[in-house]
Amino acid sequence: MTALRPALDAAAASLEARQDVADPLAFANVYEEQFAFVWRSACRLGVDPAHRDDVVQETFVVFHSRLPEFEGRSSVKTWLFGILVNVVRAHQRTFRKRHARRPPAAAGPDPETVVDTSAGPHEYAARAEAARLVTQLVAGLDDDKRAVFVLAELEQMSAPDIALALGVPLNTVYSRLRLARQEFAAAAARHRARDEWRIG
Amino acid sequence: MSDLRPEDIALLDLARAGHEPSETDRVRVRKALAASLGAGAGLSVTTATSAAGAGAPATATSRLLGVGKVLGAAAILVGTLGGGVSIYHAVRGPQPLAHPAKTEALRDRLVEAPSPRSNASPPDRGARASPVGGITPSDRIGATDDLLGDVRPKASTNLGPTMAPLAGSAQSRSAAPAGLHSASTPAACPSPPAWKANAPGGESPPGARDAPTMLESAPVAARLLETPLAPAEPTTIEAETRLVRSALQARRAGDGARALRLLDEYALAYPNGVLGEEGAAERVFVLCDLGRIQEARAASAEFMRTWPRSMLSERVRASCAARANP
Repeated sequence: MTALRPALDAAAASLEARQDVADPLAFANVYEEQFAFVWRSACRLGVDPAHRDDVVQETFVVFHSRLPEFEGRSSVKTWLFGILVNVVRAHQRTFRKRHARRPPAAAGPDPETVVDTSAGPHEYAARAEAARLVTQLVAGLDDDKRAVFVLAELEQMSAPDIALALGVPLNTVYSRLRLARQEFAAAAARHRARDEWRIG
Repeated sequence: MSDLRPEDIALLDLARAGHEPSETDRVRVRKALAASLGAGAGLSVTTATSAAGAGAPATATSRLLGVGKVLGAAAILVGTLGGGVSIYHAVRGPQPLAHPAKTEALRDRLVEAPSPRSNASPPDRGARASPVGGITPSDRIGATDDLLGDVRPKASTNLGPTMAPLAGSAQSRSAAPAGLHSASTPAACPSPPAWKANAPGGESPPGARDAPTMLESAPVAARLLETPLAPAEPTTIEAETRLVRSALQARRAGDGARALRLLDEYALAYPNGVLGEEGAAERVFVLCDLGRIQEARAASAEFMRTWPRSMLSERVRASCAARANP
């Protein structure tokens, strides 16, 4: 009987592992599925590249600790984003205190590390530049509007999902999104105008 | 109604694919996460075997690190709950590292298991498909009259029976004329006061809110859609840009007087315009070109006072206004 014990343990572990693989809520699966989303959202929410690893990691740590409470009323993605927003805010508060006199650098993606799966070099560079510019423009929005704008315009998430992710009423989402779009359009217009001035 | 112009939308479409992490990023964070969550011994991030073979002190350290992370996270939750996102309302104080045994197994899998993820992004549970770069204006929230089109049942959101009729309304909306989003879409439009009942202050935790309750605010959105919410801001921006650009072109063409007139017109029409900074800088350059040094100096001083960190300040400083200073 004792000889069978290791084999039984192994079989049980294997079964559990297989169940976890099949379970979309298993933490490892969530990590693999949502890492890219959390990463780029952190980037778009203005997290400094030097601190992005920490913020993403912290988000998953919180998610892991809260996972037993997840009731499936929102999607994992929206839940994660809600956590991320809080982690980013806490991080930025700390960062601003430490660097009160220095404005945070625009946290655009490093063109060297931007992943591209299909485009040629020109398209690749254009995407990296566009991502950098959008990050810079989005950084001018306040925290609330930035979160809504990122989810709506870059993640293309639906308004109800955004409301769930941020824990705000649906009409607040629409209101913030409308203002965010106006501010983004204004900032983009300024940028284009400045480009002309620089050239001129 | 969208406040974004076609060039803004094109920029966003292009940028959407520019923030993806590399596989190196994924692996690096995975290892750090495994180390952080790893309640097991050793904290080896290479193999589970070596991790299991490490000594007890390392185990204690890893546990402390893990607990510290979670405590830190709990502090973040408490600290940020004031009026913002409130997923963490349920935090009932510092918690020990959740599921030590599971955590160890998780760490092993995170470290050892090859990523099941292919190049293509996996489908998000309950999230709307996000075709990178493939968005059309009609896909955008509020870009057309499709706002309520986003309120559709999703497999993962446990919406319950209340949502059932929505499928029908979502399907039928394509045949409906624009602007139909009103209380006439009954399934999506229960009574709005449910928000207030369930979400005092309008900010209750997503996890504690029933999805149908959230959907009950759909009439609010419908009314918002029917009401013209914003003035035509893009038109204003375009008009501003056109005016300031005309001044720039006039100066370049040597017509300083016209440039100044256009800048005066701009300042009068848009005292708080988005291009006020550019207009003020341009005024300095125009005054310099016209040889009105004293006025240029005053305009320069005003510019530096108003926009001390402007990207144009270098050019203003290099203008005749600065050179004229003793």
